[in-house]
Amino acid sequence: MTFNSLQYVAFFGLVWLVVAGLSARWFGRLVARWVTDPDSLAIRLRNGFLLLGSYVFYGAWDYRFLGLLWLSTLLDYTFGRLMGNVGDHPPRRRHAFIVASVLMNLSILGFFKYFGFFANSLEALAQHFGIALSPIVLTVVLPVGVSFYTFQSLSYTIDVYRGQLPPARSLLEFATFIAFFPQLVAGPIERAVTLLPQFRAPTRITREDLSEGLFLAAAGLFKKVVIADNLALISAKAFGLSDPTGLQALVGSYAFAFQIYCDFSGYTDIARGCARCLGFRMMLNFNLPYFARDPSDFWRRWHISLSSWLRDYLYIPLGGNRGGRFRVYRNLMLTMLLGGLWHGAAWTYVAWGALHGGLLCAHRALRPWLALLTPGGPLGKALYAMVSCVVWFHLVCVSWILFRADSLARAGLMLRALPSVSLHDASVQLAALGPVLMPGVLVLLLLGFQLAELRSRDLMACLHGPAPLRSVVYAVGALLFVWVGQYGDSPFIYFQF
Amino acid sequence: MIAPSSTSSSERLAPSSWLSPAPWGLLGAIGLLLALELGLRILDPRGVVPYAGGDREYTSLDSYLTTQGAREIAILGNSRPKIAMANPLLTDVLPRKAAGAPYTVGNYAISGAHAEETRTVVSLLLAASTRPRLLVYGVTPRDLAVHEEGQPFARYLWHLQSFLFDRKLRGSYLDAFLPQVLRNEASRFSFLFRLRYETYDAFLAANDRDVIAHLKAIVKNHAEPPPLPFDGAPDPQLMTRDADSSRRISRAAARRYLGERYRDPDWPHTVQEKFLEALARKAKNAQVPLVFVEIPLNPALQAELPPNTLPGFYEVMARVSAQYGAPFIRVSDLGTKFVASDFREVSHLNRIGAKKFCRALAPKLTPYLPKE
Repeated sequence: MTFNSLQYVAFFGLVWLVVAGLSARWFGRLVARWVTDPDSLAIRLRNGFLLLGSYVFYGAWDYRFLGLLWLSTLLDYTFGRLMGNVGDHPPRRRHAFIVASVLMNLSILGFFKYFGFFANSLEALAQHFGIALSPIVLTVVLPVGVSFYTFQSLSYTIDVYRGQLPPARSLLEFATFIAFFPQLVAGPIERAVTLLPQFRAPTRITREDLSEGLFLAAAGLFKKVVIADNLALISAKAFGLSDPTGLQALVGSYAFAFQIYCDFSGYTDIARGCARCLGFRMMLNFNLPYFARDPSDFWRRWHISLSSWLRDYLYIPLGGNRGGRFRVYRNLMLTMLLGGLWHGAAWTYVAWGALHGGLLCAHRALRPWLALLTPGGPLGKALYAMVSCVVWFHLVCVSWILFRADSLARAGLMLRALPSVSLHDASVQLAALGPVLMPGVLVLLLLGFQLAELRSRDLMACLHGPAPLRSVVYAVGALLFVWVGQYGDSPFIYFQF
Repeated sequence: MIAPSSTSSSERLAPSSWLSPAPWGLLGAIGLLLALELGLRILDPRGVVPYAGGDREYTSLDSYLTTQGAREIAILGNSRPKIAMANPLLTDVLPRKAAGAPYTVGNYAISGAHAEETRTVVSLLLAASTRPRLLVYGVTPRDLAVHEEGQPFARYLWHLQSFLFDRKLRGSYLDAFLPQVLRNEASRFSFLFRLRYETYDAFLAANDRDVIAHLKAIVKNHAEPPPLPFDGAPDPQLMTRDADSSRRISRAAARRYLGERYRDPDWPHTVQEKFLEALARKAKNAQVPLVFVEIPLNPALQAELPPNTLPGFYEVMARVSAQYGAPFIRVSDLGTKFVASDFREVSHLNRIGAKKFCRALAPKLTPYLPKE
């Protein structure tokens, strides 16, 4: 059951009706005859129903992994409670619990996600040195969303260990926090400190929640069905060419850059929109990332829930910006390498992480010189910002080649083709990628909207615009949805992670 | 991050305030879409049916039948009958009606179709504004084989009813196509939906100038629908360079072409067999005569078919034919032999072969032609 299926629409409609019903005044009046605290009953019923719905949603993919989700939930809840019970004394016991929680979570992730990768890599390495190894070969199915809910669960136990969060009082609340269906399979990786308290509060669905939630969900669906899935046709062709030209590689990488952005941010928008319609607020995961001016800026805008997770639970504990310059570079490289590996068990993701780590280090090293280059005056500054955006966007496109390619050899093929971009016979070169004009127009339309959002510093500038403008945007959006939307069984890219 | 504050029941918004002020943006958008729909209806662009190969062959057939209805004689099947009974060739050799006018023939055979797709085409034909009076289904063993593409092409043609029928036979995995089905269904009522593929071609594949030219023509003079391959215009597949060529196919090439086809233990494929039966039943219930016609196979291909392919095929065809009173004309009934030089490649007749086939078929088909 993906967000872009009719089954999900029906499922969500049912969940919304029940949750809205439980928060309605008539429900409070009805149960007030029998219970002294109708709000508390409504909260428990809502959480119970959301948990049941979330398990149904997850079970629709593969019910076998519900056990794993439940195990992870139960153990982290127990570790949280144990840490809460022992308080600050003795600290060794708290330490033992957090180590157990981290080990348990990483073991689940390691086994299901990386077992085959490391076994195969070990075999290949041994073969390279002439040693015949036959590692245990297991065909392990990757549970959907395991990377997301494991990190979310880990953040809870670490926050409890650090004393930043009291342990969850109720297993129902905690289980609903882990399994909350809008963000269960592809994030955002919510922090317990912000989401968990919302499961303790009564639902309050306002008109603003509904309008912004529906707008977000519709915008996300549009990004996925109209933009991402049309661009997917181009990138699939470009990355499938046996001998791509420079122009084909360039257009293919542009197409994938916007495909993955619209696919993933589209998913997040739908997740946030659905949560908002249910009265919950989830964190922003994308903040106009292709308007970033440098690597650090990019990672403050792209997959914010993961990058901030890595910053808070990996980079800073490693030492962060403290220590010497090389220590900082080491921390950056390690964080980005692990961030790359988090995405998938393949060397292409490791290389992608390494490239971003290298770019972060290089930018840090060059920052004093770049500051000298910054021109004065508003026009000079604007021009500099624009050039920085363009340069950085192209570096990101190079990194997307590593991310998208099915092997390092394929990535090498595309990267080698890039420097030889030529517009000679451009129409013939582009014809091999299928229709590119309309997807290009769609991307320009998207960038136009985002520019308006950037200028107005409002990520929902369209929703807050005048009614005639909104009417035109909605009508054109609906037409594009019907006319050029790609309908079929097209999963979101981040489901595989 | 903002956590919602605790709010008691009495503080919650009353439902009446949800619609005040009115959602003007949304209402304006609905108004704009209705105005566009009205504009299209006034313009009456029923003739806009772009024709191209691949998926578009299916979608253009849907547009065509929805807007223009069917001809008197409807040819059905996949690319083999599409070429073997190509419209001008068959029309030329069929006897004329008593009044002297020729029978109108529509060739609604589409590439890659199996019995499943053809059943959906029959549903569309029988629901069209003008129904056909005779269905001629050109069959080969491929109509009863498993879909090599994995997903049925019928999805391009499904309306709600035919989708539900296919879903019963194929299972709930087809639900992924429900959005597409709903768009197809909506196209019955809305021009905005009906013209979606045309618009897609015009704007997404902007290099297809024919569509834009066509749109311009419609705007200019409400043009008469131009002839399409369905009703007699030269078919792109017949215009290809190899249309008149004949190539001797080696048995090795035929083996390569066949690959694993017809080696499935479930041959003839049970699901396709059920679709064939459903098709015949539908025609019988609608009282539209149906004739099955076997399309000749390349001798090299025939020699390489697994031994149970043709017997299995004939057995199913004979059973369905008898059960639903739909005659089955076999190649052996035509009294003409088809040799390697009648084929353009491994699986399709060339123009000479198609003419030969139509000439031989016409007298056999005559008894079933609709009476005046």
